[in-house]
Amino acid sequence: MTTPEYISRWTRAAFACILLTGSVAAFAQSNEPIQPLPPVPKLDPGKVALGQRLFNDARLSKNNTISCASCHVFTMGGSNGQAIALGVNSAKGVVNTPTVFNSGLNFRQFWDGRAASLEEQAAGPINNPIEMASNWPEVIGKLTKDTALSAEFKKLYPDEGVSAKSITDALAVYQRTLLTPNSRFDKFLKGDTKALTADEQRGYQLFKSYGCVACHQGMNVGGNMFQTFGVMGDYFAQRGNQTNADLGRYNVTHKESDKHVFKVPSLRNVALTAPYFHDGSAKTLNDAVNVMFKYQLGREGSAQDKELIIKFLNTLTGELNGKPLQSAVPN
Amino acid sequence: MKPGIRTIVIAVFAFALIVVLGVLVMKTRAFDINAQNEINSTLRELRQVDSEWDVDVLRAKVGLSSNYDRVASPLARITALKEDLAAKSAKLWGDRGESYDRLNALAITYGKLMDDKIGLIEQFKSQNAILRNSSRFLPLAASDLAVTVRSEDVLLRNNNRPEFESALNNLLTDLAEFEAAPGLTEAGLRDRVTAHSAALVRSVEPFSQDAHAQTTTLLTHVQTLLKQQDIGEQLLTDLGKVDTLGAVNALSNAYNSEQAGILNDQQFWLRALIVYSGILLAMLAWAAWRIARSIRLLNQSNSALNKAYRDLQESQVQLVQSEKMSGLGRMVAGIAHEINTPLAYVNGTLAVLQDQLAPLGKLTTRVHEFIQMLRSKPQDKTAVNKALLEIEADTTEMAEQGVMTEIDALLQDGMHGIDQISEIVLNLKNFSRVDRVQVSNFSVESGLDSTLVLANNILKNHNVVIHKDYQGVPTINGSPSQINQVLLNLITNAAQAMPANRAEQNAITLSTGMEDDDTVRIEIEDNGAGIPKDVLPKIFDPFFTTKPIGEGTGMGLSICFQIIEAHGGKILVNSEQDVGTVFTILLPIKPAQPTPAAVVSDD
Repeated sequence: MTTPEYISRWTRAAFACILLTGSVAAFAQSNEPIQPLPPVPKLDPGKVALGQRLFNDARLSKNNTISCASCHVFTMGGSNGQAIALGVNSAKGVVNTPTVFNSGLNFRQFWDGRAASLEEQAAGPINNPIEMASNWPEVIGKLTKDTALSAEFKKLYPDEGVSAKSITDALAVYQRTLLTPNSRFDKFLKGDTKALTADEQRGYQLFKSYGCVACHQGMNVGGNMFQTFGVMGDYFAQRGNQTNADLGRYNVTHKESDKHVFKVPSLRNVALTAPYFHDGSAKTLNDAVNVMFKYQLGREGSAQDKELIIKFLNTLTGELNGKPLQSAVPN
Repeated sequence: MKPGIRTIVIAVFAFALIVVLGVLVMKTRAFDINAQNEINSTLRELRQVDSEWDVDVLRAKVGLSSNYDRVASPLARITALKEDLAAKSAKLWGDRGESYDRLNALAITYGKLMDDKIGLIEQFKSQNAILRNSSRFLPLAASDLAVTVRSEDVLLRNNNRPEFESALNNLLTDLAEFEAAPGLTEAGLRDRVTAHSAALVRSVEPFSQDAHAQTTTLLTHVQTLLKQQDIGEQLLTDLGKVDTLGAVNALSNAYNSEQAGILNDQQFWLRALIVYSGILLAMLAWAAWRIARSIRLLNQSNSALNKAYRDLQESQVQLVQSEKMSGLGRMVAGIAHEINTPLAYVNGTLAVLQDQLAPLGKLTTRVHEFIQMLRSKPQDKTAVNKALLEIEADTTEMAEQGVMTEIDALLQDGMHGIDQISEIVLNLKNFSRVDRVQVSNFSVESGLDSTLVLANNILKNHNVVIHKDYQGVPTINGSPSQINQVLLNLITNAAQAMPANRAEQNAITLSTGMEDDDTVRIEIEDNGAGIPKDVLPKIFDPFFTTKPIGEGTGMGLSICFQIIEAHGGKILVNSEQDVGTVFTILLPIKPAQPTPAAVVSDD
């Protein structure tokens, strides 16, 4: 696709856009707002393996009790089933743990989007006093003492060795492989109309027509934009007990318009990641759908419609390493 | 200028030249155009991503895109490109201070604009989602409300329905107009929507709570639509003002002009370098020419020196000879007198001898006549007897007078006189011979004696008594005439150091002895005035003399010194004021040097 060398005015871009409408082959595959997940990227297997070791390594925490995997449990949808997870010495966190699955597809990391990349994100919990409560010198010190691990670092990162950069890089590389493709819904999107039941298909239509899809769209069914929590009503006044974390993106930008703005979470594997919302206040999908209808869509929906939507949401559960994801906690 | 300071100044100057050369080379070091091209390509890519992003935002805005993946995806790309640009720029421009500062300022401006743009696009996505949700829901909400009102109207049978239908219809029409072209709508439209909304609320008053709730929902979304539409317009306006493309272009232009500046500077410095190199080459050439000239001059003076040295050697040989001859000349009177004495003696002797020979001649004649008489026939006996008596008388007289003994004695005296003369002449001849260096075994003691003969006259004139203390040293290997010349010089000097008419008896003591197994020692000691202390160190210097002009050449002792050195020996002097002077000559029996050629190389 060619673009004029110099576009200074928005209007010219609009003009170009109109020209481009003729060649819409780019999204001809399907103009559905939700797209299938891409295949798992082929990344350096050494780094992936190292990232996996680190992901499960409790030495990243102050007292060697907590690893990344402690909160991002693979059998619990990449999260942990807690409204708010506990960190080192049972310190209570401030927000619900987002899933690690498909997190590489998120446009930013954390609920408030304060990290632009997985590399940046990885440093967060390690240094957070109520999460892993450690710091780089301590972690690097501990990992360097492990000669085998240290040698692995030296092999994969000859210039760096064990460093903040190499640790976060390995973790990020590993996490980018944690995609969950082949959900029934993705199969449906790819043309397998039998992959979804009639109810589930109806649920998807409702998901679109009620306007959920205005935010939960793209291949990650969310995760590519911010949105105010409580567009059509004051959610926080209703809930009460406001915390600093409730200010969301405002904590990053300090712009008034960013108050209560959060990253729209991905709805991939959403059936496995209860409880919901940044505060973990919605214990079931039904609770979550109700809150969304009221505060985001600003409208009523019939119980039947909501049930159909939830049926659709259940079809978003994919596979990890070729095996269907399942919840250890029976729904 | 002292040589040390001169060296330092030259070193500093050379160092300064090298520093200037280094600076010039630094200034002309190649500008990595490839790296700049990479930066330009990164900028191009940024521009392209940015432009495409604008298009994607508009697509989302007009509903061509069904999701925001495309709008979200440039974030990582732009971050990566910005980091790439910063790294490349720092690498290529980091050490070009001012240029880098200017470029960096533009890059920071661009970064800020880009952050603004990212923020605005984030807001746009949120706003657009809400707007689309409300605008999608509005017709549905309206139709839900209409269904409720119509069904209730049938039950209630009141007459509010036309009012409701009209209000809802007007509202939807105005909203449709508003949505179709939000930016171009007339000013009153918003007011009309408000008025229709109020009318709608009034019209549903008679109806049920459900109808009221549905109206509230509908109007909430109407308000949301209006509000979000405004926000959206504002966002797009703001986005239009965020001229990231302009900033990229400014950055790109700045790179180009900085690069042009650098290439321009480089041209200048390159020219400067060429000129400077030329100057350096010229200086080198000049230095080389100077060195070549110095070498030539050095060669010239070297050959001149060589020639002078050869001339000097020749003149020294001549000088030695002429010194010898001049010494001889000074002794000529004495030697003449020496010869004259035995000559007069011989002369006298010969005169006496002549007198003595007269009777012998007479006798010879008589004997001859007597023999003639005896042989003549007839014999005159008287005459014979008479003749015999005369002969007898003569011979008796001669025998009585002892004529033959006297003649013999006279002849011996004459012979002695002639021997003396021939000895002097022989010595003179030996002495005055121009040396073809004749090395022979030679007795220094007989040399001393031979010298004494030649110096006899001067010794007599100065009333000098000679004491000899010879130890009978072995012969040495050397040039007799040269050693004799030294001895004569020393003895003559010694004699001249002692005035003839003084109270003390003038005496020269000549002694020989062995210094060690291989060295002969000769000492010539006088009891003269001694050599003053200030003069003593200079006596062996050439042309040094204490004698009046014309009496000495000043070369005597200098030549002595060289002769003895050439024989591998030493000449030492020990003098005490008013006591006397001792010259000591040490000569090896077999000199290390086979020939004492240094002094008298050849004729």
